[in-house]
Amino acid sequence: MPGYLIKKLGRLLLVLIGVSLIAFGMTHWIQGNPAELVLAQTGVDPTQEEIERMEHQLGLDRSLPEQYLTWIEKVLQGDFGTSYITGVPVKEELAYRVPATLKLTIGAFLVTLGLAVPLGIWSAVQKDKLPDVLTRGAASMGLAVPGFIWGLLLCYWFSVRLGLLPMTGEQTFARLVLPVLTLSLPLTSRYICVIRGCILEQLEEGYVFLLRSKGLRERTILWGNVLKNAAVPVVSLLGLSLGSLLGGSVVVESLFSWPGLGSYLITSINNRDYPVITAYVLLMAVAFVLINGLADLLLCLLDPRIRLGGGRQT
Amino acid sequence: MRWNWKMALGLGMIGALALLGILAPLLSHADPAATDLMLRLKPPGTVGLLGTDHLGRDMLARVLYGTRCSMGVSFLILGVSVLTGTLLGLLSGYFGGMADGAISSVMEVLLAFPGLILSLTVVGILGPGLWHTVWAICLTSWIGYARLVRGMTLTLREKEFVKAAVLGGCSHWAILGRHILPNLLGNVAIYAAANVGSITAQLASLSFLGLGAQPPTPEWGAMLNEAKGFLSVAPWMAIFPGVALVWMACGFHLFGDGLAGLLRQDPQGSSDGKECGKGGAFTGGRTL
Repeated sequence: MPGYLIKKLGRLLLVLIGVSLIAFGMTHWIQGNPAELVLAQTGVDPTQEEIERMEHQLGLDRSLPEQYLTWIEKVLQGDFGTSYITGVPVKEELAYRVPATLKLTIGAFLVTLGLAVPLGIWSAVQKDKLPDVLTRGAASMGLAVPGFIWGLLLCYWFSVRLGLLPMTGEQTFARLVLPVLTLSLPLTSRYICVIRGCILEQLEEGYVFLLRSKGLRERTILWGNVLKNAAVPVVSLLGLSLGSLLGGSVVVESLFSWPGLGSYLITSINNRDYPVITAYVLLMAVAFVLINGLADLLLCLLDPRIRLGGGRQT
Repeated sequence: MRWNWKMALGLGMIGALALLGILAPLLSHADPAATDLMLRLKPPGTVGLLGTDHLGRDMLARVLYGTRCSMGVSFLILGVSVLTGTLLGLLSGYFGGMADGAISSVMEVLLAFPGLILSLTVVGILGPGLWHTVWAICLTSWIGYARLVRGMTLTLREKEFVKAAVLGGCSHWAILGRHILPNLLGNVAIYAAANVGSITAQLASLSFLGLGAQPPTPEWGAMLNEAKGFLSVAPWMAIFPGVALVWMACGFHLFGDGLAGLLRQDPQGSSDGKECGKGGAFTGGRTL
């Protein structure tokens, strides 16, 4: 167990370093000289001298490894530079928008679990009967069609046609319903499929046969044994699905003008506000890696095969 | 090879759409980019078959020509990803060592960026535009192929026929090309069939965010982005590109599902409904 954990942690650290290198690289891909971009905010054409002074101030005249080290030192202290547009530290701009995105993501996550777990179990139990066929068909549609199409449909019906739910205005509960639904729909579809598949796979295992032959009721087998074993792959999906939630949140926030990190990213891309873009991608990747690490840990506690065997079989 | 209904239906749907895209100049004489402010927001049936958009452009022409952009670019991304991913996967799985270490760590780092976010930020840094979007999606979509091919190459490398080829004096390239690659193609095809839907979704999503195809290029995602502001006055502006996108997505999904079911069924008899879960996990990595 400790050996497995140390190996995992080491890889996690390496990935984080790689992520930081990519984010650092992005600051260097930017077309145009960052020093000129910063000076351009003043609205006056900078002289060559001013550019050189700013380059020195930003550390652009030093070697790349040196620049990386000073950059990472700042980032570790939470300093992502200042926004080119507002001049406010990027940290503050992002922190201001985190709660809105968290509300949306956590809401979508809860809705997904609330819908997918019962539907997945029901679909597996009713295999090949009408409820299963319908659920599976709906889930296939949900998987195939890009999420923003569902968003537009929901928008059209509930907001434009029926006027039930607002599209703009305060961050109220009613305003949260449509974005949360849009974000959770594709994910719910995937969960239904995976949960159903896992349960069906478990039902064919030898221990189920044994329990059945001992005369246990189907219901007892399902709730007492099968679901516990079927949970293992689902938990490993939980961490990964965070990725679709974070990626999807950009599209959904921008569709519903929800004032979170995602719509801020799009605004920043359109404004060429590079420090914000870099900080955002770094933040998201780090959050994603850490949460997946946590999911691995949870899995390790859930499944003795992993901590003893040292590897996950997928 | 036996056909199943899912595959046939999916292929039919995609084929029909591709045909519409190819025949676009015959089906609509209007220029998809020509604006006419006198004919703004006309409902379907009044001006042209599908009406006009907020700049008076013919919707039928735009949806038809949009097929070329949406579908053609998806296939381009698919081709680049399949080639790069397969090549890197083969090298990494067959030679191992430093090459494998380097390629695997690059993949691991790229996979640390959730969902669309890496593509989004790359477009953000390069600036919006269709070609930037293409490269941004390629940057992440080859990984699936490389992982799949690497894993299979690792197993195939130990097989007896490969050892026999080594003893027979085949060069590394001959072994890779003649003995290992042909054994991988089936699974790469399944993955590609499942993946192309996700590529179209990513492309449409980026365009929908205003980062992909720039106006006046007729692309469905970009058209939906424009239609967003006119949902209450001109819903047809959203309906037609939306239907086209759903049609294409479902076609690819059905085809991929059918192909996966078919190739998976072959070795071990029936696998009935279970492909839903497996198919989901297959496309799982980077859908929205």
